[in-house]
Amino acid sequence: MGNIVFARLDKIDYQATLRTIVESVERQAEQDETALLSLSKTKLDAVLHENNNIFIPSTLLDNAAEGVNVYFDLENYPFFQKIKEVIEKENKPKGVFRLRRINGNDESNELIAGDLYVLSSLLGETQDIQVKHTNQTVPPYHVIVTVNFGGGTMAHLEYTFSDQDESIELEWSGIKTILEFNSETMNPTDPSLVYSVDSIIESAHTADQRLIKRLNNFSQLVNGGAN
Amino acid sequence: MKIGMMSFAHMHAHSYADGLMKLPNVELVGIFDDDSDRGKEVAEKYLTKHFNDQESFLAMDMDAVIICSENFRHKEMVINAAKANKHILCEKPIATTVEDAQEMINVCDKNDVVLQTAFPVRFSSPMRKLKNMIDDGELGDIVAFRTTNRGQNPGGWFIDKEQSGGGAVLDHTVHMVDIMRWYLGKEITEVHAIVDSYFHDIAIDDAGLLTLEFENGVVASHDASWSRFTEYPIWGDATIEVVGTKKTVKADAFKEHFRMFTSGSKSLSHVFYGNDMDLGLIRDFVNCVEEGRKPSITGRDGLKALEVALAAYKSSEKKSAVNL
Repeated sequence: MGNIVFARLDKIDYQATLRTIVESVERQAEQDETALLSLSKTKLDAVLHENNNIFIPSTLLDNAAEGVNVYFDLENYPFFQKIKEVIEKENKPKGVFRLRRINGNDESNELIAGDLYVLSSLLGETQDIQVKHTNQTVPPYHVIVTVNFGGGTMAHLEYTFSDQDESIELEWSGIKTILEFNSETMNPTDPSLVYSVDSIIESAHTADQRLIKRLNNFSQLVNGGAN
Repeated sequence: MKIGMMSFAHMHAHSYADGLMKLPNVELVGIFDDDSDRGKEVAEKYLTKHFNDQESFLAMDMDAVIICSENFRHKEMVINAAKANKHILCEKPIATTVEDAQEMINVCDKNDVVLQTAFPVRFSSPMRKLKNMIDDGELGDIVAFRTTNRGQNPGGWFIDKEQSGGGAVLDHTVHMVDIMRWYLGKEITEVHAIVDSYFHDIAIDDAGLLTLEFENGVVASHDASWSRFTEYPIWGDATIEVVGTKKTVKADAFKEHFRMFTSGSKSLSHVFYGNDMDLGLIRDFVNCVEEGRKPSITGRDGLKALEVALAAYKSSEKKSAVNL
């Protein structure tokens, strides 16, 4: 049973990918080869019940996909992995976390739910989440999520869905430690918001009922308003 | 024009006095400060007279005063100055309660004197350029704001609630709320906030995140804190990002800098070379008094910004949004 990874192909860092990649399931001759497929619900449905080891982004997950492996966009970026290492060094992280993302119009609120999942595993259980958004019919659509993680961490997560280039800014104002990242000021020639297929496979979580329920809960909060 | 200064308790008094010294048509005629040591020291520095007594200071022949006392004393000094027919530039926050701010405005109106709130960020070149871009329609309609005002813990009376009225959230919310109101020309109707104390072992807030909604549906986030430590390359920031239907633009009042690396505990410093916004504020106040016009930043502007900061505390306590 080989791996089948569904991903936005423009997000893949091929140079950092060490696994052997093939472009379709049919060309997957060896067990250790990984088929890398573009995001498509149809393609996913076609391979879903064939005992494959499937990896999908959290934004593609629905209840029918239990048992697949789910990965989170934010969790895969090398910059985020390093930032996570620094914050995790503190026993109980205390501070102000700010995340700002500019995404394409085709991205959905499910991206926000995925970020909340990733951040709650880093900063603690969410005690209170408030969502404020602009009129979705007037582009760009902007969403502000205020999160109290309790235990000394508060966060603002902000999203603009527009036709601008994708970007991420992240700030952590901790105790005697301040972290700042802005994807726009990184590598000027290559996109900085990419990750390897290896990272996707290594960071993925099994989509069990607990994960699905948790993601659904975040998704409802984001789509339905304040909790 | 003859101008006096009332109290050097707030550190901004020094740069305002420096500004006065640079203006050719202005004379700093005296400094009232009932902290005698401090008052004598600054009077000597600025080659002027020190007054221990407020009444005799206000009896002087002068056109205007600049008040830089502890926040809780703004009311007393503004009212006394207004009754002595002096025009007033008052340090922010204008007061520690909305009721006090309203009373100060009323007394100034009654005595027909100018009451200007000291919001120097309005005189930052990048902030003014962005204002012009908005007014020229370059950004389209404003959809959202993102703002920050983070700095170091000033200590002293700032961390004594009796004297300051509040910590970082009060100290560092009013500037950017004023900028947002100025850019949009609309009022904030809803405030949600988390206010806490993280960074220092003090009995007052040093961190806060505010989420705001304006009367026309524009939403905003604001990060107010004393989270910057002395080794950080710069004192802090005052930033805004304006998300418009045509364009998104950012500005930072402290962005214009070069990086300086030295060997030592503070290896990197950001050396600011941008315009002197405090001088811009002082010059505007002097011109306003000279021309007998309405101040560019009114007492009401100070009150509306204060109202939002105080609502943030209330929201955090109630754990729900506060409507204004």
